[in-house]
Formats: sequence, C-alpha cells, structure tokens
Amino acid sequence: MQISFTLNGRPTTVDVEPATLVAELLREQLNLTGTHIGCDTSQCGACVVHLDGLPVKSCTLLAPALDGATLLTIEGLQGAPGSNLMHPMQEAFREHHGLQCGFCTPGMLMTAVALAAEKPDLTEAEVRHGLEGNICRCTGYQNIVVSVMAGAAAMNAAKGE
Amino acid sequence: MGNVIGIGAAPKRKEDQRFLTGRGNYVSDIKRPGMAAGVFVRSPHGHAVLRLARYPAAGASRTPRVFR
Ligand code: FES
Ligand code: FES
Repeated sequence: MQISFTLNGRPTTVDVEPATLVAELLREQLNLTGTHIGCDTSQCGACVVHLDGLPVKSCTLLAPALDGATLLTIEGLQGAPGSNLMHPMQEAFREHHGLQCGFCTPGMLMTAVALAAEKPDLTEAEVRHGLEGNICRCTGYQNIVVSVMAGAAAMNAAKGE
Repeated sequence: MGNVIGIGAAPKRKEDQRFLTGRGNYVSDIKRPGMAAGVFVRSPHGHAVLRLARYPAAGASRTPRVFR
C-alpha cells in the first residue's frame, strides 16, 4: 500500500507492506539508521520517534499509522532552523557526557525533547520517571539525567528569546 | 575544572556529534549487496557429543538463499 506522511519536514510517499514496522521502514527502506532497534519488543526505547509531536516506540508502530501524520526522527532533530546548530538537548548531552557508545542516545534524545516540551520545569524525579522506557547499558543514567535537566533548561531559555 | 589537562579533565569527545545526530554507523546499520544474515544454533545440551549435524530442513537447504 502507499502511504504519505511528513518525514523530518519533507513530504514523503512510500510503498509498504502493511505489516511493516515504522522502525523497519525507516532503517531498511528509507536508510535512516539513526533510529535504532535495541530489542524490537518495546522495552529499550532506542527506537523512539515523534509521531505528531508525541514520543512513540517505532518498533511497535505499523507503517500504515503514518499515513497523513508528521514524523520526526533523530535525523530531523536540530537547533534553530537554518542555523546548522544541534538541538539544545543534543548540545546538553555532549556538554554533560550523557552518552558513551551512543546506541541508546537517539531514543533518549527524542524522549527527552518530548518530556521537556510537555513540561518546561521538569524535576529530577520527573526526568527519571520519564526515562523509564529508555534503557542505557553504558552510562548508569546519572549523566543522562543531568543532560536532560540542562537540555530542558536550555530549551526553555531558547523559547524565551 | 575548565583548564585541567590530563587526569581529571573532561574533554569533549570527538565522536559525540555523529552519535547525537543519528549518524553513527553501527554494525546493524551496514548494508552490503547480497548480504546474508547470520544465525547461531547452539546445543541445548551441555557437554553433548555431536554425532550427526542435520542442516536446516531439506526445503531450506535446497533454497540457494540459505548458506551454511
Ligand atoms: S527497539 Fe523499540 S523499544 Fe527497543
Ligand atoms: S550510551 Fe551506550 S547504551 Fe546508552
């Protein structure tokens, strides 16, 4: 079947088997391998993307659900349009060492951006709770939490400008 | 901390940019023409003696797409 959606700001039309998972569609058909598959069973969060602004695990979403929707993947996450800068959340992860191998990072970032967008004054407890669905095997989470707090603050500051 | 060099320093990592932007290249991201998928079949028995190895079902082994 043919589906049309907005992918990272661009209108996109693809032919897919209806049983294709969004994570597979992105990685195999569209060559966007920034969205990772860590488990394929909704546990790890490495595959999180934004569907109409909300974070979803793309390994648990069928491609037909994209028809008419707006999808944002890690490849589309960026700072001020046209600035060539990284998103404040990405900057915060770099600054505060919120990553090691980087495998969980795209999912962490997508979840973190959604969390911060939904609630500007996140507490540490809320960040930890909000990241429950994202597993990291490297960092021990401490620096991820610090990064998300800093990134959320930076997003807020940017909004105020 | 900013001017610490060596032990105790927290330098920015060179690899972070690509990991943060979804441009890392992990093994499962690599695609080559004609690439095969590997599957390990392990013995369910500890210290077992392998007497006869029967490869995938006859049908599968006749399929040119299955390597062994
Ligand atoms: S790959 Fe989707 S949650 Fe792990
Ligand atoms: S940085 Fe390696 S899994 Fe999180």
